[in-house]
Amino acid sequence: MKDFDLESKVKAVRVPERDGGYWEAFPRRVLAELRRVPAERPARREFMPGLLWCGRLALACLALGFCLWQSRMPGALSHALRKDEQELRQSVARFHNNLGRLMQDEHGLHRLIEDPP
Amino acid sequence: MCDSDEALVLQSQSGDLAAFAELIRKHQRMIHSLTYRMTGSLADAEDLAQETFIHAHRQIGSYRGASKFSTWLYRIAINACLTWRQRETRRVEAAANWAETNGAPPAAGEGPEAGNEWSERMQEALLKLPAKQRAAVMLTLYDGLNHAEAAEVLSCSEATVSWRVFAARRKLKRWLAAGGERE
Repeated sequence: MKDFDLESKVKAVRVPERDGGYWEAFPRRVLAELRRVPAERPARREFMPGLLWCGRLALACLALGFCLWQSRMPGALSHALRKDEQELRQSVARFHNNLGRLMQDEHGLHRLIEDPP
Repeated sequence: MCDSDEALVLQSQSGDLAAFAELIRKHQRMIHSLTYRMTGSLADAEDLAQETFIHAHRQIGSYRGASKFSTWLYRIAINACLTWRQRETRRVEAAANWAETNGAPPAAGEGPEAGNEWSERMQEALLKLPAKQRAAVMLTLYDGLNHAEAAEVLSCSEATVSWRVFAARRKLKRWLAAGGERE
């Protein structure tokens, strides 16, 4: 079969005819659908931005809180470390070369065994 | 785009529904033919034609006149048909699975509704083509678009359109020859 024969046969495929009433009614049906569909949309549109803004605000608050927590943590930690180091130096200075055992609890650094002078 | 289309599009873009109705009246037969040839079903063709014009109305604000209005409309219709094809494949598979599980016969699909026997056989062969090849055949053979225009509608290269038309022709010839031998 040649391309030309095939094309003429393909083109001969008949599209069923519709009556004039159908073509008159079709645009009206499309317009009716267009009028119906936009009426359903605003409700969703009003709801979504509110929800979106709440979500964004919550995320922003979380991010801000995390940043503040992160920025305060190293300062507090280094302050505690400096204090412990200072106490340790004072204890070491008190024993000179005869260092005893030290214990740290919630009240700070304590001497456990004291070497005889 | 012809002048009257241009004027009607501008009016439609400013919210004039009567102008859009006029655009529908001008292009409805072309779109119905396309959707019928893509689906082989009058009912589906009607639904898809309606879907096409609804999409067109929603997107008409984005139409800038870079291509002909009919080309732009074709693109929407073809996309609707391709999406329909995917949905339809899933629906048929689901129906077949359900029938297999429940022992009921599969639902009869709506066959070609054209009148004469030859036309029916050709329509049947066209429906067997992969959707994108069928779309290329529809646009180039039925609607007379050249390969560049069809490529624009189908959002692919000209070479792809040429290949799809070539592959479709080869398959159609084979199927029709096989059908002729059986008679």
